[in-house]
Amino acid sequence: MLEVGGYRSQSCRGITRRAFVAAAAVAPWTLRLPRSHAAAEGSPPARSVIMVWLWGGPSHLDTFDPKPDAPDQYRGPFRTLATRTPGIHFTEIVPRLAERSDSFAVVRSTRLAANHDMVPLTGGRSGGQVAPNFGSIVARRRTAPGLPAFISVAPRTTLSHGFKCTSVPGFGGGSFGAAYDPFIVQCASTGDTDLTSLRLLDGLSIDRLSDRRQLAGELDRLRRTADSAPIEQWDERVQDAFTLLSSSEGRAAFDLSRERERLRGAYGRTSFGQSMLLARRLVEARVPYIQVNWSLGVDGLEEGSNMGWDTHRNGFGQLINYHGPVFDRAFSALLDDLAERGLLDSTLVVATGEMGRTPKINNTGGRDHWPTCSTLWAGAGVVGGRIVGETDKVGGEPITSPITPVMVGTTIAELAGVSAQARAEMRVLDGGRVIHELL
Amino acid sequence: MSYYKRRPIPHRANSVMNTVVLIAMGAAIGVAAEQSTSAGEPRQLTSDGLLKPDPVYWPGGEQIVYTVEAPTGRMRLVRQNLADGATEYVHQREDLSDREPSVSSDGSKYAYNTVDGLSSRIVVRDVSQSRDILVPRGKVADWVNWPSLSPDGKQIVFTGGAAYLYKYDLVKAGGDESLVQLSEADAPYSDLWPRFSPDGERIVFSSRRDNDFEIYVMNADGENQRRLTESPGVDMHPACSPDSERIAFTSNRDGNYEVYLMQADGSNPRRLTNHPERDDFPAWHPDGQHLVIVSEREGRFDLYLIEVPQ
Repeated sequence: MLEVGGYRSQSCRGITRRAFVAAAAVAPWTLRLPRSHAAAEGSPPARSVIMVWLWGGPSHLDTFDPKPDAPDQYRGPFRTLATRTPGIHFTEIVPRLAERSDSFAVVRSTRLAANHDMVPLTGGRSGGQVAPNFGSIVARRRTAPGLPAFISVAPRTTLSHGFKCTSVPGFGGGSFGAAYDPFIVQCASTGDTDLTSLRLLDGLSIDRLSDRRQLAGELDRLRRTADSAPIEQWDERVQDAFTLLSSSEGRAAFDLSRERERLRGAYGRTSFGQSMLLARRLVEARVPYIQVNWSLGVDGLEEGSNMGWDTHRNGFGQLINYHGPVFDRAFSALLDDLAERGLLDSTLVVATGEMGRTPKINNTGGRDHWPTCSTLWAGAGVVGGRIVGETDKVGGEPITSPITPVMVGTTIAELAGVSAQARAEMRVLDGGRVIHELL
Repeated sequence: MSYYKRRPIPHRANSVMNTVVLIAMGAAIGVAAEQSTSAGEPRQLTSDGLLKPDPVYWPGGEQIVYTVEAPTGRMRLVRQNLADGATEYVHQREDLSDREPSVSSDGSKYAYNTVDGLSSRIVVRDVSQSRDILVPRGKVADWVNWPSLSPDGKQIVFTGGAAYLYKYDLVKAGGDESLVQLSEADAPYSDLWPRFSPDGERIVFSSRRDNDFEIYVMNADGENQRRLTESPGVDMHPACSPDSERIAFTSNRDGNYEVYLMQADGSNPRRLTNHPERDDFPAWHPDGQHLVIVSEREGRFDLYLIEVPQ
């Protein structure tokens, strides 16, 4: 079921419609839509990009770059599995992906952040300012028919202590401005979607959005009842949103109830699984850039964060119980689903955290922050089964040329049709190169 | 809105479970709705498909409590009546994440792990006196998991801090002074998923002290720690039978997560389930003849009742 401004939880907390409108005025991102200022450049290899953001930093040693011959304090408890790619092994916590290793490439020599930095989403800083998210870069050059060009799907958008995903530098438009922030959608484990960027009127359902006369009436009513200053700002953006969602195609893209139950199950009945399914629907709707957020926070303990990958403590228990099976199933289902629909060739899928984990296991049964990590790439010309780069015998340092955040961004931008000239004009991703080893 | 507000669960057998090795659903177990189950079929107890680890039977066997990933994104405890399938949240607060329930043999106390900002802590709810006991974290620092109450409700064991096992005396309740570390000091390994045996004499748990995760047992005082399994892969989530004679656990020794059974001394291990998807989190019915497990079927995580061969 799709809810627009459902206010279910908000109503329970006693937030009124009037309070929300006031809040919208100080949080303009909630209603902004990225505006594309230029048409797509030709027909790029990646009609769409799905960035799977594994916030917290997955352990590369415990997933896609195991070191079974390393000493006890490094290798971890998991067995290795032979993959479909001869000579390549993953760990036992991602068995489905081991069976599909010929569908995607792994860059084992990625060097990203040393901490919880969003640089893997932006490529770095831009002239002293926070650089725009790769999605904002793509959205500036690409359009989606009737939908935002950059959509970010998350299990939640705000945690109890006030942390908001949008407060993280690099989450959105950065130096481009808030107009290029993503259009945010929440997706629950039940598959219910909530267009957070489009919280409108209490009780306004997606079906009622199609009745534009009724919408006009609702807006007029709101104008009469709300403070005038916020509503004027709000109204302009809401009109944009109405334009998007008053089309049946726009509404349908967010409605997971249109999917077969079996397919919904294939992705897993978790918020991440259903978010990945939503991403595939948005690919079908020709949205250029979709970021699927594994969690809102980095920490595995934070309530509502859906268990981030920052597994300092009890990392192995978390990986067995939650992270491994949930990610393995959802990412595998996405690859299968895209391939079966003939969409994988035109969709670039990238999965990365902001970093990896320390090769040496710490004294709390986990691993700490470490810049070396593995990133997954699929579709849009990426050669499946390919392993790019190599790390040393304990998974510490790349022994091949490291792949950097700006190279990640450059590859995404190039495949998505943002040319070197366009990037130069936008003053982004300076000095980057395409990871040609993937292609 | 409470998602788990008395939602009846359809009572139907699931054909996809037909490959589960076992199982003749024989004697009724005091649950009217279960009497209609066809012989030989595992009984599906839930149907929402949401992630739901850590089921545990409540004393008497008429209710089961488990953790679920609620639509809000938080983990919450759900209580389900087996007779009619009705469910409800154990705690009404929507802004907390609660998980990993455990209960004393008479039901007068139950424990759970709750997230408290960026840390977690264990709460013991004394039902008879309507009060909560907060288990001190002391040297355990800010992370604790998997509480298991002793059958008499006087002690609790859990994993905390450096992935060590700790035991807390709920009678003395003397803060850190009543907290005892059961794992070897400074040992570089993880001891996880502890469970008291129903006779209260032993604690079973999983540890990676011999590299991969194996099942171990210790006396309730922490003495006589010894390994019960030796297999490739992960052996985890042990649970002692009501008579303390057998241990059910999860293992991927055969390439996939399945539920296994062995004697309390580790002998005679055998596989109980066999399905391409995951079977996990075994919990004993008080009758000692059935287990509830969490089975992943086509991406749906649901509870199934299976019979245990005697």
